[in-house]
Amino acid sequence: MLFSERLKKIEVLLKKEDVERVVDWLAHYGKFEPIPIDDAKAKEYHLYHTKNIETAQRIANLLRRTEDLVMKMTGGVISPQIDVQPNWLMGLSELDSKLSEIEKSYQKILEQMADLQRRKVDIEIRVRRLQFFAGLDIPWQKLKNTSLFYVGFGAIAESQYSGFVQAISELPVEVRYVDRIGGDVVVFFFCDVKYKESVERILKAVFYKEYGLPFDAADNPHQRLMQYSFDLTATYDEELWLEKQKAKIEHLFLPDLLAFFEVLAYRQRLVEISDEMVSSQTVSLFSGWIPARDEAIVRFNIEKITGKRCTIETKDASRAMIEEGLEPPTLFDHPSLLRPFETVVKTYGMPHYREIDPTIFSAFTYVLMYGAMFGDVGQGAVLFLLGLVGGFLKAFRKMQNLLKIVMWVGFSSMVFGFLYGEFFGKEDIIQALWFSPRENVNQILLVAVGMGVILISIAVILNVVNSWLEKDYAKMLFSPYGIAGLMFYWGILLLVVFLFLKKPLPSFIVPIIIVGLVLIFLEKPLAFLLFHHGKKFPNPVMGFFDLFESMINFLSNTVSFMRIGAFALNHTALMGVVFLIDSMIANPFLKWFVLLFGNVFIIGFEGFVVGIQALRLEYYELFVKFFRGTGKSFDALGLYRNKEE
Amino acid sequence: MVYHGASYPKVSYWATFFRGKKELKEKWNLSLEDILLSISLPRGKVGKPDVMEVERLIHQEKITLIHSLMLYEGKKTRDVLDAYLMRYEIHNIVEVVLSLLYHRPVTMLYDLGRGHRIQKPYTDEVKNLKDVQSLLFHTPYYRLAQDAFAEMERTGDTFSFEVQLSNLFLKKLFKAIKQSGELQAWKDTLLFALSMERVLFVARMKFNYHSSVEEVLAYFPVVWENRDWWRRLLMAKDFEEFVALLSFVLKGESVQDLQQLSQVLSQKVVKRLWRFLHVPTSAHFIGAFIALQEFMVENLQVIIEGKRYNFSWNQIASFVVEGGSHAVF
Repeated sequence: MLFSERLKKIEVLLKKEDVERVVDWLAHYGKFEPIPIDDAKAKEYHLYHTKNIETAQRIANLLRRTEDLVMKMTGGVISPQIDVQPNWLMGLSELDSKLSEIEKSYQKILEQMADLQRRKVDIEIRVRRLQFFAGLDIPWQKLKNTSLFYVGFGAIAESQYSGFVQAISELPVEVRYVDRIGGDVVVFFFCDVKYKESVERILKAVFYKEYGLPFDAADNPHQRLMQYSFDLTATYDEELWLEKQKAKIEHLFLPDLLAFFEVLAYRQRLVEISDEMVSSQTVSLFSGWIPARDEAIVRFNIEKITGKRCTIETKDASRAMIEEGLEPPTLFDHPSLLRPFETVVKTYGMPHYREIDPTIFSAFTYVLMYGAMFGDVGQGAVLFLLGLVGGFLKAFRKMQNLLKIVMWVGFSSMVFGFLYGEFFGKEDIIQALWFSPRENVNQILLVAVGMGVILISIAVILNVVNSWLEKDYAKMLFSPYGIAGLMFYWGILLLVVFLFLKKPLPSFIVPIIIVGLVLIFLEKPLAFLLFHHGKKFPNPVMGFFDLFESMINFLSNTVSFMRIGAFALNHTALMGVVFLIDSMIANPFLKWFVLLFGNVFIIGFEGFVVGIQALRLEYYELFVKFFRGTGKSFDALGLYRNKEE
Repeated sequence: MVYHGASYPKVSYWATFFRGKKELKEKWNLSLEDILLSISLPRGKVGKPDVMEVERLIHQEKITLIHSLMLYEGKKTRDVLDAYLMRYEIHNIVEVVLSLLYHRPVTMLYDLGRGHRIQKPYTDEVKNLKDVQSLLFHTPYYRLAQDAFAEMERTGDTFSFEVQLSNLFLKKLFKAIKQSGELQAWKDTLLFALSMERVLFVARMKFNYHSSVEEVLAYFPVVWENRDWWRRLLMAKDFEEFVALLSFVLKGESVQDLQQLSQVLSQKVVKRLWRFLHVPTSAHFIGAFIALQEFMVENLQVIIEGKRYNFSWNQIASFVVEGGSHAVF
């Protein structure tokens, strides 16, 4: 737990036809991170890189089509409740044909809906036509057999109407605007028949649709109107039915499409891995990192898949670092209790492969500091229950880590609540097992500083260990956060304690402080002389600034922990304000409301601020002293896309 | 005030790729393969020996640069640029439709990026105009396709469809520009270039195809500002009257025929826009560059095609638009 999982580098030389099955197994296994093979290595084996551009292009196209269809169906809002079950064995051709089928059936419904809309507009225009001619006070029926006039009743798309108007106004044509229906402008026009050709040219340019005059309905317009209203009702029914069909298709196929996404993304990763491999006509070579303890499993399975027609070589990651200059990734292997706190670490950085994993340290210190700042049995219990219950709810699936952290800090608040004797801000309900911060202001501040001293010291010790692991002995011995810094810091602390207690100083304290100071001052020159760091002898004056800075840092970092005590006091004071307001109200209902609202506000607001403050102490007072955070996360080849929360 | 500071250095650099006639002539002296290999674009050297592929890449570069600008621009300018991309989407539609009507392979389609359907791989499945109509579903072109395809299938005439698509594009672009808060900057640059393009379109319709005034008006409704001038242009009785109305652009340059008008207008547009490239405080430089890059690409295409079909420099020189600072001085 103090270090990340030990890794091994694995190299597999196998027959080309076995590659897909082996890589597929590795993806299912889920703890294999491929390493790109460089050209020098490839030459060693007389192999070369090949790129599968065609497949990559095909996958990209399929992804695009799937994305487009999902967008059409959902408008970009995908419910997290949809159960996606990818079929990892599905080939690209099968996926392509299934996707085409879904595309066609969905497109068909959409087109039917569009046609229906068009038909609706069509009927509405015909109805409007009857109304228009019924209200006309000229004997238009006589136009049926006329050869003197060119007459028309029809529709033009709105976008083309201005062109129509401008062009037609150049000719002696009488145009009546009738109505605007569903994106169409309905017009009636007539002119001398000698302009027919010119008018027709205009009509062609604007995609005019002729409906004609309703001569056939002239005798019995009511019957025709009834017919249209019946047709319109039928289109409404059809529309409803099509809506249902559309929803049915969406419900039926959306999970499939989301599964296609996963399968395609997976196939895309496989192609990328194939691109990183090197091959000849018959064999391929690939390499990657695996957890050392799984070596036997991986070896067994690859040999089983290939029928032992492969060569597998493994090498410890530390050896690969030295011999090949590779940088192994960091794979955490924490119990479920610690896993949520990985987020706290990862937000700052990833520990290097050979660096102390700070997760356990950060989990312990964060929970401790939070509880000390927000000690209250009642409010802590609320946070604890919030985290516990939230963890079981599907809707908060993506916030699992955060909710678990809330649960643990809630628990810590409860523990400190018992120690401080606070229950929803009341100090007279339970007896303090330790002391009440409000009544012991100096004590709580001293405890906070003491906590800071211990945590800072642990952080510096961790830095010493990390520097030793890195073989950076100069940093380990002479840096402000190394042994020299520790000598100085502890020396000063002892000095303060003895002065405070007014006891005679032991003789070793001052020399320890002086030695510590001198070593920090000479850090760079000593590193150059003893460990050959740097290219030239550094300017010793620079040591003065380092010295000054480290003195200030130790002082400010230690004092910074006083905020733990300050927030513990702050909590009592804020609750005091709530009780004060409560005492000024006579109405019992309002009294309860103020109490409830006050508690909710303090849990939400103060709880959040304390969370930020604890994180700040974690990062800026502790992590900076020992945590490098320059490692890279283990990026395993898996079935699913990276779903980091 | 809209901020464009992040785009200006990029555009200034990209504009240096607009070669003058002198540089293009030097290129012309190389073999076709060497020309293809030597073409460098703002995003790097093309470095390919295949004519079709190089032509596709140089045209695609326009989209790449617009996409790149969109990353650095605010919402309003992004909307204008997005509206401008419709021009290339329309190119794709027309290309697919023509290939189906005349049974020829699709020559070049732009890759418009995510969110656009009129491009590969969607167009791969298209077998007839009905499929194109399906493809256009849920796009602003669908209604037009509904109206036009039946007639087009019957006559094979795509002119009305193309013009109406172009009108649709202009309408969308106008709308985005009006909302951008920088109407003048776009009017001085991009809209000026587009209006000159439209002038040439009208001229061809009037003097090549001898269309009537009302036909021209139906196809090209006056939606631009300066309506009176446009109306007079559309209604001009002969070529002389038409050219006289363009005197504010031509500035005394004599023009005898349509081809000459096209060349002179292109050069005048480049000359006018070049100075706006150096106005970093407004969208002037973006509008100018978007319009100029069309000429930049056109020049390269002329060189490649000219060399491919063994034309002499003198034969193609008049089709090459003078670029760079030579266009101004």
